[in-house]
Amino acid sequence: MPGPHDCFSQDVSRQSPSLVLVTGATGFIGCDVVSHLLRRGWRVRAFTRRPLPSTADHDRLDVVRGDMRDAGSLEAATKGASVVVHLAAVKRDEPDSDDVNVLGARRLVAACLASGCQRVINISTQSAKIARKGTYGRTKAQADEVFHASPLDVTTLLLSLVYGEGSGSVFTTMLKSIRALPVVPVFGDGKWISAPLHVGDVSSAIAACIEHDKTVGKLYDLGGPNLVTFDQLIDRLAATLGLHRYKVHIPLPIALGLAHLMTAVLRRPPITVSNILGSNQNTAIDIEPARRDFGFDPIDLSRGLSLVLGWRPSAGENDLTAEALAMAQYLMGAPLSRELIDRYADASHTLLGMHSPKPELVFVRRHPWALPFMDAAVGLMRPESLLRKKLLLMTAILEATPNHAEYFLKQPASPFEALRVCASQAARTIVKAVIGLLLYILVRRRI
Amino acid sequence: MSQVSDVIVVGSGASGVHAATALVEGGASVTMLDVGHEDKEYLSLVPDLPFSRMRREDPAQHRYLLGDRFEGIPLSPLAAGAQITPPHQYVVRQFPELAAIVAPAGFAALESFALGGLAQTWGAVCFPFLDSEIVRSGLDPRTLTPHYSEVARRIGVSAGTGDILRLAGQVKGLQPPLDVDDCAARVLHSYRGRREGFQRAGIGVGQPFMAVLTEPLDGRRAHAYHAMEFWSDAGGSVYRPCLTLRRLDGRPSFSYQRPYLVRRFREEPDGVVSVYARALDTDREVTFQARVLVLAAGAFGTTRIVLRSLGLYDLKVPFACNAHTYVPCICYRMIGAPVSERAHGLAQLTMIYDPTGDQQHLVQGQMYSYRSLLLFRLLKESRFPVRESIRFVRGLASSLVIWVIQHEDTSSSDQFCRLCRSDDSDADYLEISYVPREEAERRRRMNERLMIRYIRRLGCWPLSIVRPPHGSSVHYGGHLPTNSAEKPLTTEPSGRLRGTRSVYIVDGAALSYLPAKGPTFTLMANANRVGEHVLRCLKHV
Repeated sequence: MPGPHDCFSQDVSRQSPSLVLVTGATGFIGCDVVSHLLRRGWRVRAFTRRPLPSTADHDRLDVVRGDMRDAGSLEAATKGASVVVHLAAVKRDEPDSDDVNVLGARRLVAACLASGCQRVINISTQSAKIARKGTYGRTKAQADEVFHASPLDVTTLLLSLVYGEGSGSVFTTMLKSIRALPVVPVFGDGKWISAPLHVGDVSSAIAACIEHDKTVGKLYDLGGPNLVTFDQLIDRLAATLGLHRYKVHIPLPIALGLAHLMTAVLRRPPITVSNILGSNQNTAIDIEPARRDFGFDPIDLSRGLSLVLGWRPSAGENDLTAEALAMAQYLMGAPLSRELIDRYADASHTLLGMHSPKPELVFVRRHPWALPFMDAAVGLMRPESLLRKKLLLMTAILEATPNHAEYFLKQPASPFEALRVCASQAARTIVKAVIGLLLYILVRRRI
Repeated sequence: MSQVSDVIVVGSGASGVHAATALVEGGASVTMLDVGHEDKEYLSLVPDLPFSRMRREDPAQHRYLLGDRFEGIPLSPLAAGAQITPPHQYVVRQFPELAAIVAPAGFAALESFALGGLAQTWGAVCFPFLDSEIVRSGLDPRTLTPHYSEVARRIGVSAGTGDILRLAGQVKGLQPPLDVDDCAARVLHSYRGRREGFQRAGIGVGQPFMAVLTEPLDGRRAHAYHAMEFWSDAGGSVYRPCLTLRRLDGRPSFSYQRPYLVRRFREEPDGVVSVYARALDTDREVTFQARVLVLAAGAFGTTRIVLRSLGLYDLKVPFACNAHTYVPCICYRMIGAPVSERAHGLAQLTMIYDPTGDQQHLVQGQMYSYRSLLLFRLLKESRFPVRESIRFVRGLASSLVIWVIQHEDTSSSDQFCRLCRSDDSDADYLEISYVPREEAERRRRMNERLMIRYIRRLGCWPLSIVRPPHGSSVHYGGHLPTNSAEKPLTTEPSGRLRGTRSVYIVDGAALSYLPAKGPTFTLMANANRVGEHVLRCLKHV
């Protein structure tokens, strides 16, 4: 299937490369780049520390294992390649950042010179441009200097916030927290401006640079066409998911303190000093040179989000989708397939018709975290309520699905376990009912 | 329009097919008129697998578990037929629009226009009536009893066990009893230890007679213990009237005509009966003629046809209807115990209580294990949060049993129906009037309390007592009671409608009394008896 943007300008001045080496091929951007280049009909060599999944099997794809810290593996990988797309980097402020990012760049340059591979597309970041840099920004900036100081034909792309389907990006972390948390923490004031860029546009830009000689020796800003603040981006993502989220702003010094602490304690901290610094200092993102030189034409944010999230429900569907997702999360702790969301919407229309939703239902659509408590409250106060009927409907739909059958068929292994289950459920019910009744009274009063 | 057959049978339900079988086997030509709805959507989708395996494996299960129009998700309060699953909902298709029945709130009427009628979803419990009950129903035990055995051989009935045999009447030609499930085995074990106390109180417990095969019969297979009775009729091990109809359908002297809704009959001076029916496909009136008419359209359907034919509008016709009560219980010895998936989903046990000590007013309870329906049906009753309810119910599901307590009923003047004319056209409707009788209600509750006390002694803790609306047992009778009194709108002991020359009543309308047992087996036996009687009459002429 073609990506969002397969063709840039028609003015192709270089022949198709014989073989493109992609470092960091298993990363979030790397995966997309590899498949994009393969779709173009090019031969690709993926350079990776981890084995590729077997689904990546392709007759024009050749996988080599190696490491940016291992000059030998780089030299072997660059042999026969005409272009290197350099994506490999460590991003979480790891102690070996200098070794991988800066020295790795030097090793790669040396390997290219030794193998006679002249062309390099170096992927860097807007964080390399900010004044107060974290480890990531600093090492990437140094790497950029290494490449441009070399005799190789280098093009560097400085990416803004990249979003896409894959996992492991800042963007997916944001999505996760929006889905899971009633209140989304924002590190800093939320006014940082980014130009979110679809991962498919990154891949297309890389291919276009390979094809356009005039990009050699240049650094380009790459960002999407829409400039949004961090707060606006969270609101848009939540809206696309049919959710409403409050944001809590954590002042920069405290946020940085937290990030330092996490980096010290956790092996894979969810947020790093570099992330926070990068999302609190604006950079001038000028995509005009890229448009002019290689026809860069990134897709609109709303279209890109709809590509990533798969669909965009219409206004009426939106409510049903939101409540379906919230209910499945509550009942099973699991997400819901599109098929089951549709089935739920269909059943809801068929059996319950169009009701003007009651305040408690409106509230849980916007605040799925409140659903367990509200359910406990309406169970006591209004067992015949619409919310309750909808929950029963969702239960019926989940129960009649093989994927969830085990959950409903599971039996306690002993009388002791059965009693323990009953006791723990009773305790949970009491706690939920207490909180739920308070919420219920508040919500009904307010409306 | 068509040639005159010996007999027209109206309706293909439990009564109709056995009357027809007796007639056809005796050499008479029979035309059966029926609306004849069948399932065309779901039954073919249901795999022939045990319930839990189907749940784990079949990706299309939502279609028949929930229904394509989600008709299998009952969100409203209990009504008649609430337990009917999507694959069996054809049984109540076009009800009430074809029935034109008006019932008050608090009375749930149900009629079927299906091929096979209401017994297509029958629980298959096969109680023969005791002699005293047969007599109160207006029939003669000596002439009726042999027909129980004949029907039992025809449909395949597995024997009951234990102390109910004494109170259940005698039937020959039975198959071996079914295997009980783990829950029922524990309850029976408890009963054996307390048997004397139960007997002193007039209570017996055992397995009921079931129209379920434990040995193959006529191409039908023995029950596979898949607990799928609510969803599929695979293998034909549970008796359904359509099985008998299928056997009849190949016979040259039998003709099954549908979709016809019979409106009325008229006895012609030349000795034939004309039957006027509406062809539902072309919406034209069609006339059929026969020498004898056998009405088996269900108690209300038959009554409607009779009243309309005789022009008896606005006449109060009393009837009887068994009241019943659900008592969901936890069989506490089963909590957390391993459960074998090999089970049937029908009534496991029965309890018969003789409150008067003379077998005249028996009360009966049937125990079902809750193992082949979905849990969400139970959650409606819980006021806990849904997530916790699921875990509760799931944890207790293997120990959940439902006792269904049934009470006797006789026709009385405060429960009647009457045929009314519609204002606008020549259409009419059957209006039901029902006033709960305090005395009967009080007696029922007293009997229930005692039954529940003994149910508790069997290790079943009652969770609640659910009284569905009157009428939802779908056991109706006594509209045209059989007796020897020379009154209009009664049935002669032979089965002939009094005042007619050749119209016979073989369904529930002819029973003057409904003991606390499902009437289906008796209706089949009686239909067979009347069929043979009609045959003799035809041969004499």
